[in-house]
Amino acid sequence: MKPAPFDYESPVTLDDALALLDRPGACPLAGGQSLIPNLSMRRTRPDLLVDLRRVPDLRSIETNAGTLRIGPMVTFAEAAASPEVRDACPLVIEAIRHVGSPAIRNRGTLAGNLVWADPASELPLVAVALGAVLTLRRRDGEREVAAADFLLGAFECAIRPGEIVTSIRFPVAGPGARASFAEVSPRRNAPALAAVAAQIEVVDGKVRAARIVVGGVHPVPLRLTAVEVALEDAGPGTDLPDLGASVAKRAVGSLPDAADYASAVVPPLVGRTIASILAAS
Amino acid sequence: MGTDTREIRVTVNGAPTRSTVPVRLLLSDFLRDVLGLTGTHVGCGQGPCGSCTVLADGDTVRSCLMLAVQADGMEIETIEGVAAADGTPHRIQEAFREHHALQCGFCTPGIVMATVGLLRRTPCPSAAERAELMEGHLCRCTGYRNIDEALAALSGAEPRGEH
Amino acid sequence: MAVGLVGTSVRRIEDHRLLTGKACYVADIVLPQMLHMAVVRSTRAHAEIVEIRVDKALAYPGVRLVLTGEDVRHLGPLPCIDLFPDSKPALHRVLALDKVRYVGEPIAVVIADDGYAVEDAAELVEVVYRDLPVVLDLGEAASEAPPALLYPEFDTNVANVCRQEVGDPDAAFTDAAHVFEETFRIHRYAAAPMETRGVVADPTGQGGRITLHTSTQFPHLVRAFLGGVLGIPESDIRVVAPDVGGGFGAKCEFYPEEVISVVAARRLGRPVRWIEGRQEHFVATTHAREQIHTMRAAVDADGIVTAVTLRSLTSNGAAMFTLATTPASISSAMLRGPYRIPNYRAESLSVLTNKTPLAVYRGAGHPQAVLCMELMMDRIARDLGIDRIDLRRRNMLTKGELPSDRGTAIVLAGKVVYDTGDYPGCLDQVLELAGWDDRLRRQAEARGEGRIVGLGVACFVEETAIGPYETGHVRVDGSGKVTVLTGASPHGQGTATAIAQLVAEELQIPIADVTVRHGDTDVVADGVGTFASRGGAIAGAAARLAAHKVREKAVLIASELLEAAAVDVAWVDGRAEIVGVPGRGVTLAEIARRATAWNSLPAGLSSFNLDEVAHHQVPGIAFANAAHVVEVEIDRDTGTVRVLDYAVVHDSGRIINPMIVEGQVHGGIAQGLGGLLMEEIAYDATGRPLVSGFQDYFLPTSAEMPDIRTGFMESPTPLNPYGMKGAGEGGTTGAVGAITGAIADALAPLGIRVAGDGPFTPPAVMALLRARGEGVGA
Repeated sequence: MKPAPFDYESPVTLDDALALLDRPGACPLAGGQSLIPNLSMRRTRPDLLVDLRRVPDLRSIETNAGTLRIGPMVTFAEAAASPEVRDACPLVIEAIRHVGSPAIRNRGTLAGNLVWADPASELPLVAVALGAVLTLRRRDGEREVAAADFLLGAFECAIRPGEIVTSIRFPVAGPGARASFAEVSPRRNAPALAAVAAQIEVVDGKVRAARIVVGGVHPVPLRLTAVEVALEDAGPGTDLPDLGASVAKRAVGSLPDAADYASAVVPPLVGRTIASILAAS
Repeated sequence: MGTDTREIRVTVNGAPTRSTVPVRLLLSDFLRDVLGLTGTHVGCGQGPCGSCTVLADGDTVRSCLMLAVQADGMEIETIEGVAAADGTPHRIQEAFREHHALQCGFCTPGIVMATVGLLRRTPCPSAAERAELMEGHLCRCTGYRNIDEALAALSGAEPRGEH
Repeated sequence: MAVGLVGTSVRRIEDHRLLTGKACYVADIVLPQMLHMAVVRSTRAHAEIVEIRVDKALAYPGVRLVLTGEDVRHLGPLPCIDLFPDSKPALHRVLALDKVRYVGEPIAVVIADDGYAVEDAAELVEVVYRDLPVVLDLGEAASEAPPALLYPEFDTNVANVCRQEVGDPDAAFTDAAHVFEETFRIHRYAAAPMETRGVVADPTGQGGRITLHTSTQFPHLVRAFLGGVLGIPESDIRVVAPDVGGGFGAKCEFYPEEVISVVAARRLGRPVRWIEGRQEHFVATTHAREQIHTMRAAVDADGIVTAVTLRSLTSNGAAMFTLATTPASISSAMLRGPYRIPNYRAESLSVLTNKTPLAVYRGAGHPQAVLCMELMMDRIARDLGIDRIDLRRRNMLTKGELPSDRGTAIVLAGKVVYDTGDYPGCLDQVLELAGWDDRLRRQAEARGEGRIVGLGVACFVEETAIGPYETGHVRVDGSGKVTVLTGASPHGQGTATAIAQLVAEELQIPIADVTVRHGDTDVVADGVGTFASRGGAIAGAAARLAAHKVREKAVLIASELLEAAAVDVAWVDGRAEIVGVPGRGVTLAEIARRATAWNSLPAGLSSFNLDEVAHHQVPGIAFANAAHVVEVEIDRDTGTVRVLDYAVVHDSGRIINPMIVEGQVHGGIAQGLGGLLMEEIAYDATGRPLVSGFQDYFLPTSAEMPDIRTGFMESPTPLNPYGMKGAGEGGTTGAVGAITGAIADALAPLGIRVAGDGPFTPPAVMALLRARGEGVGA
């Protein structure tokens, strides 16, 4: 339970960090809450750890022109306490309640969590639900990848050696947006067996901009567009939780390679999240 | 040990320290083996158990999930710094004893440190806030009810009946 | 002042050091020149070792020594103390020799200068294996033609068979109105104390004398076992159990690291330290529980259970550890619990499988037995349309029927003769505490609303306070302070406080004047240890007996000092006074000083010093009992089981400290709950465990625990001079039966029969619901 040897640098500029990360076997260190236990168990063996903690300007949270931008060193605790995040992306706040425990949230970063691409993790669902875009920077350039394209499989993402996430951008939710996050796990603070992230704008009793993404069914977040459409098309007086659950059941039931348990419990969880949103609206 | 080392300056329980440490040294091992502060216990080294919880710049952190080099420039507080200098127990320690909130004591320092951190920010935490604290701590002995009662008493709440 | 201390919730004398970071666990021990050990473990479940290459590891900077099985070929295996003559001695070696039989079996150790480098070097030891067929399934392992034999020399994987025979079960089955049969499957999980195991072996004592610091529950037995394996006298060994971070039975075993660290330390002439990693813990420390019970019950027309037969298999893993037969033995000897069942036959096989060795964990075999018996009672009640409480009452031994020789016996502990207790009274009291009738009504309402709610009840009788004996040594020095040396080795139970209460009450002194020392074989010359709910009752009795002798001796010395006849000297508030002359007396300190060897021997005494030793020789097992009632609800949509409410009435004889006993009950319930709802050590088809630490072995958190209401009864046992029985394990023993019973009750109306202990994870419960067309996914 001790890490294997590695070299370590803590650069003070982003350019220096990217130059170091360009070396073979280099690995960035942000919050370390997934990386360090894996170092200790010797499941991860970088040659060089590049600690980003001294690089300036990676900790900002800002809203600009309809976009919430979260820097790569922003921790879950900082995001959860941020009025900008609360106003712009209530779903992020809802999901963070389920992430780890207070001490983990004090160190763990949103960007690191996405890069780790744990299929039981909450933030990937949120990023896909809200259509987040990640900026990936390397020594000689930058690219942008939508969260849905970034997450490739269990513990697999589109980041390439030498790249780091320099921002996560979320579109600011419209007025009337409400969010809910539900999950089932073997106990409190254990990896989710199934999860649902939902955000809906309810204006004059009408649903707009529904976003329903589920976890546990596939190794990557699964967006249930059929549910979103059904909710938006529903007439007045429709039992929306019931509708959501039944459409989700059809949508998930028709999927090949769907995880058995999650497929069974996701539909009622979809119903619950919708009910919870409506109750709060 | 790996050959790469760094000099770090960490303030621990109010006292400045300066050490040269291997870069792979975990903060928990730095506290225990370099500084001799063995009150911080390592129950898993993987994050879930919370026994190794300390305060870093006032925030609860897992000392097994940080490298010592990451603590460079930080203020760390451990269980050894909780009681008064003359040995008088802190009221959190008194409450844990009064409510029989510990048995083997291995997980206890981590829970006490998390409680120090919580009460400093939120002197009267709600039941939900106390439950949130306890999400991060495993105890194999007590069955938790007495810990919850100690936390409730510290929050000025009735020990039972707030559920 | 100290009168009436026993029976009160004195706050613990252990707590200050534990709360301030001043405790000393084994990992906190630092010795000059100390080296670090890592263990190279088998990655195969069953294989021949073709070759072990150690040259790269030896060449790694800082490495001092590598030992393999060849280096310790001359050492005997680790003892199993509950084998009986017909058993196959399938014993664990210090390091594997020629063959490995489970993933995690120690193959080699590496000793290096620091704790990081030693892990680097351990990775460089290369082991070449030739795989053998693996046997994991309990039924297959015990069959006539198993897929593999772990020890071909025995020609069977069955290490031994415990048999019980009471009355004439065959005749009872012939006459039975109803016969019920069920096979119960109990899964594998583990004690998982918060502190893993660890050792520091120091060979630098006088003349090479060894000190072994080890996280154990029984240091004196470790000393004996270590002397036996190494072939050296016990006097050359000191074993210290420092502060120990929980054990629950897992540290009531003698482990290979306790030997090989000493071998390495002696070879190098320097202290050697090994601290088990959490990942390592789940392969290197004993597992628990896994059994299959096939049980038949004969019932007459009135619902009286006239006979039970049992055939059980215990998956003991790859070797018989220190207390390996005990789970099979206890579960078979105690299956009938508080019920009369006059005819009984059991055949319980301890079976070798390619898994980590399995032995005792809180409750040993009791939880499994209670689960089977109580599920069977519920099934009989349901099928015969008899109220389940009524059925229990009809079959339950009454107070007037005790003592009752049950006709069974437990290996090591002896004959099962229930001593005292009021089992029906205990059941009545817990039903009252739980508000049973009200709960039944609300359950019916909830079911009407489509909710899945269950009530469970478990009544049990439990072996506690077993022998053979325990030691107590009470010494008063010239300061007037009292030191108690106890052979118990507590590790969280608060036994030091309990003992201090007993001694302070006997001597009528403030509890602050009592120091209790334990866990060091150089300080406490003789002892047995803390396990099997024995510490408080047995060590407490020994300490109190010694204190009583001290008091008698003090009175004699005081009578000389006061120039009065002993009959005229009274013991008042910790001092001796002449009866009727208050103020004319001598203090404990004065008496102790008079008794030192610097003075003449006081008149009437045959030895110096205010200092007495007592052994409490246990005449027989004291049987505690309890009744648990629990309410659960199952989320139809997710399969999540939530324990809503818990009531327990516990009778462990005379109680020393109710706060401590209640704490034991709470903790025990949490362990039962965890084992049933979330904890499991599963294996893949090749024998690799699917658990790698606390990130995938889930202990319960505060959020899963219900409110617990605890009531007490006190039925003193005549087997203990102060009437005390043991209280350490009952919480777990009852919880396993009660919670499973509640889940079974919840699911019964849906036509789902529960015949096992889960674990009842959300997916497992969902699978049960869906198989019956319940649950959303169906």
